[in-house]
Amino acid sequence: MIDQLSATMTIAASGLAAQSMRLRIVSENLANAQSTATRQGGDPYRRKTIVFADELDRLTGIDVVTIQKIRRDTAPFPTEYRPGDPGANQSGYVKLPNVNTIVEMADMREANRSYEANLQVIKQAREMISMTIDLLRGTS
Amino acid sequence: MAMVYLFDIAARQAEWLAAHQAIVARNIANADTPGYKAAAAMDFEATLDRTELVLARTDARHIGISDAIVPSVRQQRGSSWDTAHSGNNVSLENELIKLGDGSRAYALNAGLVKAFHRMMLASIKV
Repeated sequence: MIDQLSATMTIAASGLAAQSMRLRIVSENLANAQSTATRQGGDPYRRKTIVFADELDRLTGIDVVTIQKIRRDTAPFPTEYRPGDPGANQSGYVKLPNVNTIVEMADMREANRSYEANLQVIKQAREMISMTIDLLRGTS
Repeated sequence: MAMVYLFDIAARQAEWLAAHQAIVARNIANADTPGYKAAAAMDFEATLDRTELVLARTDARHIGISDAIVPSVRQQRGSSWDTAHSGNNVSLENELIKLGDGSRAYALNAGLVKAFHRMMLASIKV
């Protein structure tokens, strides 16, 4: 069992890592929002989603948050009539990625908010540690 | 001497507050974990009142329970502010309020210990 305040820092750091991974997935989705197939009738980029899980870190005995899985969104692809596109099928329709930019933006804000909350935890824990150290320093 | 007991109780509260912050940190880190239920620490008074039988460690290889008082964590029921579709009931605002409260209480605790310490030193100096 490690010191509770260090445990606090470790947990918050795992939260930071998880949220930055989420932001990375969002950026991958946004960057590929227009990535269509290159061969005829093929599938375009499929949106990625991220799932978090609460997991016991066996080394330190504390519960941290980890990335359980990165899944693919199974939503159907929207289609557009674009006969000249290399990815278009026989009838001239091309499948577009199932990425909704607005949804990704909302997800990005949410990741940002959670990241801020975790940062706040680290700040408070550091403050508490320095208050404890000040006990030794203050009285001479 | 009464003062010694004051130091002991202050140290216990500091330990409890640290554990409380760890629980809040866990809730915040899991704010987006599906199905996660927010946990809350048993309040300090209840933790202090509870007498606990801890197994004695007579050998270094025994699996020990830490000497520090760790507040038993209980699951929150109905007291949370919102529940997401995934079953997660962590409210970031609520957790941040708890975090601030914990930090403030810790500052008060540290200040009190400092004051007690000054008082003890004053009696020595005379």
